[in-house]
Amino acid sequence: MNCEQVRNLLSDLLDGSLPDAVRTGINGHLQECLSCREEREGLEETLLALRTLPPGKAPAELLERIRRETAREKARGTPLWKKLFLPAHIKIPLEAAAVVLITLLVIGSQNQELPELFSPRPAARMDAAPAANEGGSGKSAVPQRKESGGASTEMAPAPKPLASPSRSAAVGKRETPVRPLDPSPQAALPAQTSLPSVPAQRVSTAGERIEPEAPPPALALPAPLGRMVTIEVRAENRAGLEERIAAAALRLGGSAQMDDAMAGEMPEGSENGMRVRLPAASDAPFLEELSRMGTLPPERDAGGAALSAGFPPGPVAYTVRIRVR
Amino acid sequence: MSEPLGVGVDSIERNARPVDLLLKAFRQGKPGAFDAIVRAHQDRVYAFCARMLSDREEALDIAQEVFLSAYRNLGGFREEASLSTWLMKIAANRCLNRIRRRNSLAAREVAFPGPGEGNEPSFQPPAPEAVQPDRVAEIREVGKILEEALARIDPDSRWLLLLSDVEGFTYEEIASMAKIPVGTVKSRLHRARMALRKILAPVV
Repeated sequence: MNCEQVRNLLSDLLDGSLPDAVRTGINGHLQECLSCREEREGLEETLLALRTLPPGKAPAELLERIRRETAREKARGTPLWKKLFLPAHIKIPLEAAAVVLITLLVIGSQNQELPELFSPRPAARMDAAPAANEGGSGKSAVPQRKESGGASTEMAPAPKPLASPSRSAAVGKRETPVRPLDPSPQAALPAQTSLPSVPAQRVSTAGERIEPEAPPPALALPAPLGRMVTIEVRAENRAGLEERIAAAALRLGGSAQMDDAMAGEMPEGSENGMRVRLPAASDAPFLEELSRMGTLPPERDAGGAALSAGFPPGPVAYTVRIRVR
Repeated sequence: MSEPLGVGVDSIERNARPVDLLLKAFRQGKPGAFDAIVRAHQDRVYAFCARMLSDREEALDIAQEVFLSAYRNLGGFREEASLSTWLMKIAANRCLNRIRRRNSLAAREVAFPGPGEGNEPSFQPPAPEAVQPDRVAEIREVGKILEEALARIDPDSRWLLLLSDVEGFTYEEIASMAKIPVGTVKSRLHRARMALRKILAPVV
């Protein structure tokens, strides 16, 4: 053994943890090597000094400070969450349960069959489709069914599976007479995944056919310029007719306006036209006034047209065409 | 190493360690149980901190932190080690953190050779005035000489020396505290002892 090897093993030698053979070899080296022997003695004295180091004594202040701090913590109390979750025998089962629950939820949300457990059966969904419509964008479909006078609704053989974007734009306008009752997108999704592709035949139990609704009269349609009214006058009564119509409109609380741009819009044979806007209550009196000034076509009885958006609610508008006989 | 004496040892539980009884009493909410734990361990914890930090006030602060940490976490203490081992582990970690913070605050880089660098001992060479024979001769008490020498050892070696050779913890206990193999504890400890012996060579 050389000096380096011996010095590396001096701690083990003093601990008494070396095998006999190694210890004998080291002792043999130490008998011959003064430097290593001094090293061993120095290490032994160092260890002895360390082991006989006088024990320290904590100042009394330490205990006082600890008492003060622990009393303060006790007064502050343990938070409720800590009381609930700190003991390991409560915390560990709770954490395990939370992990299991979260795992189940994640797996369930990825599984498309899971919503099937909570959705109506396919057979019942056919009748439930109108009801599903009522909850969402089907608000416009409900009044439509009422307008059709309780007639049953028979769907087209191949209904559109999903509502088209234009359908939402149609909400609020007058409905076209016959339109397939599409389930709302929310209701349609599970049905798509679970139902066979058999076309639905009937969504009502009334057993009657839907008759196409008659198209609304032209005068009932909203028009930007209001209802078109043609007044026929004799040539001798033509002069000053615009002023008289305007005076009647003003008298009834409305307004009148000559519009040269209307010249192109006027039907053939018309001389001129003007626009009249009136309060709703003045609708009938205005037509009476017009009938005194000339002859009105029979469709005048349909009443003034409701204005579309842009005008305040209530007023009616007329575009008066003047035709000379 | 003998465990510190505690309170509450009766004839029936004579074989149980006194600290276990203190712990049991604390968990049962008996008044004064934590006081008894502090009394049983405060000298040892404080002395360790004082020797690690070489500063009375800092040692007092850290010892207080150790016991307050124990007060808050004794509920979760699983008794895999003895209470004294657990407390000294907390103390060692806090002392090392304080020394690191102190060093970073002082912006002083103290370079200690790492283990395995030849036969050179892993310690900071003593400052000349600390080992001057005439100055050492003035220091009468061996304890003071030792503590001065210990302060010269790098902190990672110092706490090993203090726990093993001063406080008497076994290699296995130190290995479990430091989470390193027992063989590593032994080799590091040997280098630390040799370094201390070199510092003390003019005296012993």
